[in-house]
Formats: sequence, C-alpha cells, structure tokens
Amino acid sequence: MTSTQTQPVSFADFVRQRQRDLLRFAMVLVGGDAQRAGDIVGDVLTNAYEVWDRIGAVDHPYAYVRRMIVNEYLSWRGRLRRTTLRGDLEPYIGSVADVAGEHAVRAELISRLRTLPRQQRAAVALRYFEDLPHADIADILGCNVGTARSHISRALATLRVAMTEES
Amino acid sequence: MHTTDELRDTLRELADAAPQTAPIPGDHDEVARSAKPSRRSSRLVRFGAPALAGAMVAGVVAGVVALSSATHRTAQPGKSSTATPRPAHLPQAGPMSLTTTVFDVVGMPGATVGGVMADGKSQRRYVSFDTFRDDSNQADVQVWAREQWTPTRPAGAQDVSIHGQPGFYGRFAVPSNGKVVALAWQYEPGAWAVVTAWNKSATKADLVRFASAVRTGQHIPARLPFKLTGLPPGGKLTALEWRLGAGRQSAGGGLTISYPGRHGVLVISVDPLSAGEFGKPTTIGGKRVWVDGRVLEIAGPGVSRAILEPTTPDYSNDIDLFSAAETESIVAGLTFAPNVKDPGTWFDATSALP
Repeated sequence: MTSTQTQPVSFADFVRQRQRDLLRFAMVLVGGDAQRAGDIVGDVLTNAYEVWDRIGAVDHPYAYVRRMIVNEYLSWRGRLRRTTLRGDLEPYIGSVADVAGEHAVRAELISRLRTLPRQQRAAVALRYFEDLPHADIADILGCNVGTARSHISRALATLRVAMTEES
Repeated sequence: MHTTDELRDTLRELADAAPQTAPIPGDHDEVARSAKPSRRSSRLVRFGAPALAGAMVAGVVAGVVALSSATHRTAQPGKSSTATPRPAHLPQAGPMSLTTTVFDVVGMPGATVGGVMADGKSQRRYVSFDTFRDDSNQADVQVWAREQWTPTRPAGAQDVSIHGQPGFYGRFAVPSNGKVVALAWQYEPGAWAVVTAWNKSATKADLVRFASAVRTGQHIPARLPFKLTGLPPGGKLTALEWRLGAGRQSAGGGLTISYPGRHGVLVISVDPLSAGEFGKPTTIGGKRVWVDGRVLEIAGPGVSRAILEPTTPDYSNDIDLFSAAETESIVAGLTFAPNVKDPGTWFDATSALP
C-alpha cells in the first residue's frame, strides 16, 4: 500500500521553486509595477512563513499563497509599502510609451488594464494569466460565481477584449 | 476589439518584467541550510514602527553575484556637505537627526549608494552593486546613535579593526535583519555601526572593505520631493526617508509624523507614479485628490503623487486622525517639488517642514 498523503513542502523549497511564479502573478495584478509586485510578494512570504506548518501541509501551497497575494493586493495594507528604499525597480510603466508597431496593442491593453478597479484586475489576472475557472476565481475573491463573471465581463469591456471564451 | 489571446500575451509580457526576487534580505549559507528566517520590515524600519517584521528565507533566494565581483559603476548620491542645516521647527524624535544624514559610503568602486532611512535612533542606507537591480546584490549599512544599540558578540566572532576602532565579524542579531553574518564596529565610544551583506558569497574581507568605506561624522542635508506648511500642531517627526533615484531605484521620499496626543501617526510619501488608481476623485485645498477610506492620494506635477495615510501607531488601522478642516490645511499646505523625479528640484528637509 502506498500513502496518498502529500509530503509537506518546506518553506525554503517552496520559495526556491515558486517565488518567481508568485512574482509574475503579482506583476500582472499590479499592472507592471515591479516595485509593488516585489513588495507584495515579500510581505506575503513573510506572513506565510509564520504559519508555514499549516500552509506547507495543504495540497496546493501555491494556490494558498496566491490567494494571500490577491488579498494583500486588494487590501490597503500594501499601500504604505509602495515606496521602499531597497532595490525598488523602475516600474514597467516607463517602457509602455516607447513601444510601437506590433507592440501597440499590448501597450494599449496594459494602459487600460491599469484603469481597472482592483477586483476586476484581480479577476482578469486569475482568469487569463492563471487560467482559473470562474468558480475558483469566485472563491479567491470571496464572491459568488456570477459576481466573478461580472467582474471579468466588465473588465473585458473596458479592455475592449471580445469575450470569445466567455460567450 | 482585441482578442483574449492578445490579452493573455499582454499579461505574460507584463509578468516577464517581474523582478527576479522579492525584496527579502539575503542571509548566508547557514540560513539556506536551516531554512530559518532573518527578519526585516521595510516600511516599519523606514518609519520607526515596532517590529512587526518579516520572516524570510533569504539565502535560498539570494542571487550569486559577489560583492567583490560587482560591475564597476559608480554613483554617489548624497555627497557630503560641510553646510550645517538649521534645525527644523517640527520636533524630532530620538538622539540622531532625521533631517541630516550622518554618514556616507565612499570609495567603493561600482557601488551605488541609496537614500536614507532615519528613525531618530539610527540611520540606514543600502548600497547596491548592480544599481539596485537585485536585492541579493546589496549591502546594508546601519549607523546608530550613542547608546542606542550594542551588538551581542557571538561565540567564535573574529576581531576586526575599522579605522582603528574595535569591532567583530560573525553571525549575530542585527536590528531589522535578524541573525545574519555581519560586521559591527564601534565608530566612536558607545556608538556602533554594522554592515550586512545580502549575499551569501560575501566574505569577511568584503565586509571589512565595506565597513572601511563608511564615513561617519557627516552632515548631509536630507532632501524631500515635497514640503509641508499646514500641519496641525502637536506633531513630532519620527521618521524620514528619501531616495534619489539611483540606478533603477526610483526617486521619492516620505516621513512619519507622530501625534501622541491623538494616538496616531500621519504617514506621507511622495513618488513618481500616477495618482488616481484608487478612490473617489474630489478636490481638497485646491488640489486634485482621490479619497479611499481615510487615505488620500494627491496628484502632483507630471506623473507624481502624494499618499497621506492617517493610521494607528502600529500602522494596523487607518483612523480619523484629523478634522476635515485640518485635513484641508494639510493638503493645501503640501507643495510638490517641481519635478519629483529630479532630486535637483527637491527641498532641503530642514526647510521642507514647519
């Protein structure tokens, strides 16, 4: 017989393996502000460490920590951490105006993405970057599935993206 | 109309620009092996708050560029000045000036010296060896006022001498960084400084070289990208931070003003990002302001903003610290530097405060 119980992952291993994924996700959430993305992930990992005995034992620690990142992003706690002395990277914002030609579409989308309310932006990131189903998005955002769909629908309208997948 | 494929590509492009690591401190091999954290809290260090702190495994995520192999690019923002600024009228907390920086780091080829975080007891600067691209390639200098911090010498520590002053190298607890490999020395009787390298490849020789580059006894006026004239009475300046935008580090600055009689603090920060991401737009004191709960985001010239957050002393909850009239006075009395991105247009901190 083999045990189906998952071996708890250590915090060190988790950080080593998934930090980059978390940063990429946070980067999408914050619309390309590398400084903020780094701060959010750093703060979330800080908090996660404190309760890692619990997080490390769940089936999908990444999903758990990703939810923490969404919560941090949606809360005001991250506001004060927008400026920081150490290694804060120039926001990606600066390069948007420089792109042209084939990149113009992306520049426009990024620009519009930044105008989205936080809930909508989070919903878009979870749907189109993390490829989560609506039910999971609703669970993470703490709303019902209809509301999650509504967030995405309104976001796509603002982004001027045709809802090919949603229709 | 765009397609969802274009949206996915765009999101991936955004993600690709993510930093390599989150801003968590590098420790050394022992930490990586034991997965024990070092602790640091960026905002709380900056603004002198109690240690809420972050537990971090640092060595495991740190980069690999050694201090001694850094690319040689030199910048020395915040050069020494012999001018002694007049004191700010706003009372300042602690025995060490908040508006005058007391040390510099000089003669380190390839080093970019960052701004300053000051909380009245100590001052702290980060020094980068890749123009602030990666946290793991930085060093951290903290200089303490007399009797404000005395390191505990660990067993096995090695004696060092920095400019003839006694010190030691070893693994010991450094405020805000936790137990890390560092070098501490007594730069004058009863006053300590410490350097921590966030790179597990750093050697004792690197830290000695680094500590030797620290010059105390400086009087460098702090600069801020804003000034204030309309603060309600009763405040005390408890922390100040500025950064000049060296390398990839964005410019900006902020301060914390404590109102002991009101059991709260006002945190103000200014940075070169656009305002209006959150909240409801309105006008206060003749300025464009976005209100989100108790937090105000004020549009500055060009792409810049100020964030005003009235909060509890431990930063846990935003509170109604001021009346509407006082808030209007603060906003009306806020003046942005002409160009937040250009420290040359900033205000001397001693004249930026009431």
